[in-house]
Amino acid sequence: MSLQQPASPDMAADSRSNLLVRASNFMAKTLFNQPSFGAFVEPFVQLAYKNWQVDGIRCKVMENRQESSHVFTLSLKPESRLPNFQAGQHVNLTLNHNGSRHIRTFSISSSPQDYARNKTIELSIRIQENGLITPWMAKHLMPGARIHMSPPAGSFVIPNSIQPLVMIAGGTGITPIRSMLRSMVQDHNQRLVTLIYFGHDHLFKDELNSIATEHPNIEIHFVDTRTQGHLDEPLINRLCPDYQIRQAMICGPHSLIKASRDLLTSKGVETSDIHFEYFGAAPIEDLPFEHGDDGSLPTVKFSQSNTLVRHQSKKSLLEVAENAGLKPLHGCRRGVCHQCVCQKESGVVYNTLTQQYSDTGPESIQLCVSVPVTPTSITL
Amino acid sequence: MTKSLVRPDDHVLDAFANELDQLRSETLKKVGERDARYIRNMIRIQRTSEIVGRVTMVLGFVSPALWVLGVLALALSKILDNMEVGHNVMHGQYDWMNDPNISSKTFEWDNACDSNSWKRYHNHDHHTYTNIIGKDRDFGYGLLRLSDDTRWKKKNLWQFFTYLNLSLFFQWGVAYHELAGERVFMGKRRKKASKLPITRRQLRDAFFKKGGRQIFKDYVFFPLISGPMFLPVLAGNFIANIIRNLWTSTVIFCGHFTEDIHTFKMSECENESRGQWYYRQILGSSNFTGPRWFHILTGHLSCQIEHHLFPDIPSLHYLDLTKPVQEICRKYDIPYNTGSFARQYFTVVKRIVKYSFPTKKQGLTPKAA
Repeated sequence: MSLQQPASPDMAADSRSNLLVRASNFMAKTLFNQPSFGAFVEPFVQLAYKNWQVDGIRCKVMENRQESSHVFTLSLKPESRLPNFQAGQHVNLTLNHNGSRHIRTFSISSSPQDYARNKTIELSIRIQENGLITPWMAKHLMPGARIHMSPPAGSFVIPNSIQPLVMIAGGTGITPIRSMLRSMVQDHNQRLVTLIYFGHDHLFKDELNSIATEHPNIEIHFVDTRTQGHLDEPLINRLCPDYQIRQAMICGPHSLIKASRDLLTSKGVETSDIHFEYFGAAPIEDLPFEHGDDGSLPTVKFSQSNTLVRHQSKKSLLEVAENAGLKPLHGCRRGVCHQCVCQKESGVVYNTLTQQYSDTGPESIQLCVSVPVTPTSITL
Repeated sequence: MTKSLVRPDDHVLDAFANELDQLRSETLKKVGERDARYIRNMIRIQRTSEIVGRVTMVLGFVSPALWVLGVLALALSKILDNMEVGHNVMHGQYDWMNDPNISSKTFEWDNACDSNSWKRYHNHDHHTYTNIIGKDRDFGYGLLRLSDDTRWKKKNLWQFFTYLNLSLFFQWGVAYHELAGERVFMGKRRKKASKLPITRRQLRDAFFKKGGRQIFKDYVFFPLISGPMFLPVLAGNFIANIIRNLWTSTVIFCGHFTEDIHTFKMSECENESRGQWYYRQILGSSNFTGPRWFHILTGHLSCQIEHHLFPDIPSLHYLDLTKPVQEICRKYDIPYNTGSFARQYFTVVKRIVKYSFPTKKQGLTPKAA
């Protein structure tokens, strides 16, 4: 992952302020047992500013606009300056729902130039049918509401060259691509682009159409998956015959990414010329909870020890970690003592004690009573 | 004084467990916004009283009454921090909030005992093996003889004074005890190799680091920045710590060492079912009654039975749970130990005094079957 960090103009000042922050955190720990003075005052600030957090960028919701029956767009105005970002990057939103914080990742669908001009960014979000958070967001995040956002991050950005591009998008996977196209147009970039957009309910259709008519270097094909099917060789030969000499940018559901990568690599496209981002995983809908054969069990990644294993049937995450040779701190192994609480980075787990499914985003879980339902990543 | 008691049949205990499990899931459904607001309010009250306490103590040169007020406010802050906030947060009662500053993983309290050591021994040994002699090291803290299960030694003769000393310096007693200080410092060896993925050295470092930090802030930093009020502030901080120690020790003794508390042998508890575990938690704990503010000051450990049944349900719900839990106990004819604070405390003192002396052979009490 190459996170785009704005280069610091004055490294000395930077390390000085780092030292100050560390000294201040040390004092907060020593005097008040808190990780920072910010954490100490956080509950007080929350009295005046609901859901205020010491970390992250506070944003004001400017607009909540329906794009289609399943998609809405949030227009957000950050209340402090956003670090420089690139088209195609994403942010994490922290959403407070019934007393708990849920963290969700969304691509920015507007361009950095849009932000420079009107100080707002846009996120286009699909409402997950049986989801907990996205339907709530669509209904409750109205203009004036405040939410916290992480700085933009992500490596799915336009590669720096003049090589022509073939972009393949599926469903809401169009959002980072819309950001890229807007950014190119606003930059008067003359690079050749062909976009093949799969879906049956194409987002931003008018906007994309007008971009294509006004800019001869940009060609856009809308493919209706119900009538025209999915990506295959004849289709790409017809819509973008010179795809083999282009760099590919793919964003959409797993199946689209896999099909596109398989096709492109089989036709000799270098893997370094294929850029992609998984998108729109909606694990709460299709829980394959009855774990079938061992081959269909989800993978478990222990990020700090750089270990990737397949989950074992009828085992808790704690046992899986131990079988992988890790020694996580643990206690009662029955969900009482909370010693084995670990940070989950992503994935849905099932708590055998509370008999509840977890959130998809980062949160603390008890390893000894958690079973992964989808591929899961854990800080361990 | 342990009454003779026969453990109900397994299938009865299974039905009993089902009712408690249902109560648990019904309560968990109610957990939400209200609990988040409650714990943040508690944290605000605690932090405000800490700041007020530390500032008014310095203003003691205006009037000694201000100094007294400051000491009381600081003691209140330490009590709230340790009981209603710290103890409950570290049990994971608020982990569902997913707030990194109100999480069992990260929370650190205003107490000499470092939170990781405490979670390790209190949450694990004490809550899993409640009142199993030889397993629950909190039963008597290795200092007091509180039942016939422990052999009488000469030192038990003056154990009432040992108890008073333990109460006065409870936070240090707990800090030393929870890291199994006698093993770490006195070099006593365990028979089996430690299963914990943590070394004695790490335990010792955690003890000195946390303890040192607590001493530094209360007895060096805050007195020093008070200038000429150095000594009164130092003394005030000392007294606030003592008040907190006496209070927490009293609450905890009333929750586990009252007259009718039962003890268990490891052999009785091997492979126990959930029903048997629930049963043991109820018999090993005792409640006491009082007004609402009083429950808050005890961190709702006044509802020790409910806490031991459901250690990770937010404490705000414990009071509401006392009634249904009591009804379920009545239905299954399982004793539920509750009474006024004064009465429960009286029986604690009675127990400590009683077991100061060797028990006559014929006086051996029948224990839970």
